[in-house]
Amino acid sequence: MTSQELTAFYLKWSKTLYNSALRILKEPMEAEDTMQETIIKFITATEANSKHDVRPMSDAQANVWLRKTCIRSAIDRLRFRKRRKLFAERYAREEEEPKECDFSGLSSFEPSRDIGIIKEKVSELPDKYRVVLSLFLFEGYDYEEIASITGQKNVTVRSQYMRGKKMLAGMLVGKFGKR
Amino acid sequence: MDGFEEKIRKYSRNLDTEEVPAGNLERFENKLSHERNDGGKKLVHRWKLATVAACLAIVITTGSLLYISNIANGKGDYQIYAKYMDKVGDVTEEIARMSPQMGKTEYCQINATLINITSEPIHMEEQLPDYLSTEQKKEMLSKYYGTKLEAVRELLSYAREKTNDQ
Repeated sequence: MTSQELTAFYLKWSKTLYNSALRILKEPMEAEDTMQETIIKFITATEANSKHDVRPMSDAQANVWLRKTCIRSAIDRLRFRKRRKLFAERYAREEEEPKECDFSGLSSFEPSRDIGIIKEKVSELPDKYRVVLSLFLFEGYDYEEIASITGQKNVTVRSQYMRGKKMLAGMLVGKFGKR
Repeated sequence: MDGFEEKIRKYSRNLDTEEVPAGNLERFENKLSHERNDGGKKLVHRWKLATVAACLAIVITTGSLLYISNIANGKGDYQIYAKYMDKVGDVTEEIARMSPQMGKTEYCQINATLINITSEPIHMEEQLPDYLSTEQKKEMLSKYYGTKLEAVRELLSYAREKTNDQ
């Protein structure tokens, strides 16, 4: 890539990847580092592939690769930083899974207007719930994909999602009221 | 997934509102330049740390074979990675606790080497071909993370030596 192409590529992806990392790490400089390392890895791999006549990724493939790599790097950093298990399997074994939590009672929620409040409340959740809810609600991954990214079992991811969802619902009821 | 979750997912792209901190493009260009040239300022013992990491990454000792069998322990692929990361976390914490006894430069070097040993752009289990059986995958993952862990433990020994030298 030329210098201009590199800059254009960086500007195209940096904000999206930065926001994905920031939702997990909650630390701006760490999120920036994670985003930049991801882009550098992609560029390095692409340049190496081109020397071996490997067909470059399509935009859609690059999107998937960059997002997943960035998120995984962010989770790895979180593990280093916090040094604790985010999704300890023991939680899934020792405690019963909470009952399905229904958000249908939030009568005044208007997504186009209130999505920022959801983001704010999710960021206030404990790490283990914040990461899973961010990946499910904001990044669009399903339980199996989240299990793959985080290295945990599906049942553990689902349990953490349910707990986080319940906690989030409690935070939102006061804001959006009930029918 | 209920209607609420669907609505959030639909509008989730509107959430990318935070701007990357000022000066980020310059920092990126510096990092990219450093990555390509492997230049910048070379720290005093960097070659030594790189040698430690590289040699141990390709040598599987008897000790690590025993450790590999402990890691595998009949569990699934994801368990292997989770256990590996837990051990890496232990080492990270111990190195952080030793940091007051090390120079800042030395500590940063050791941390950077630790990240270099343990980082994976794409996790190994995603790279393994589908035609491998579960047992074959487990064996390969155990060996792979076992060698990484050996390198990490040697790095810890090095860090302990540096602390004792102070």
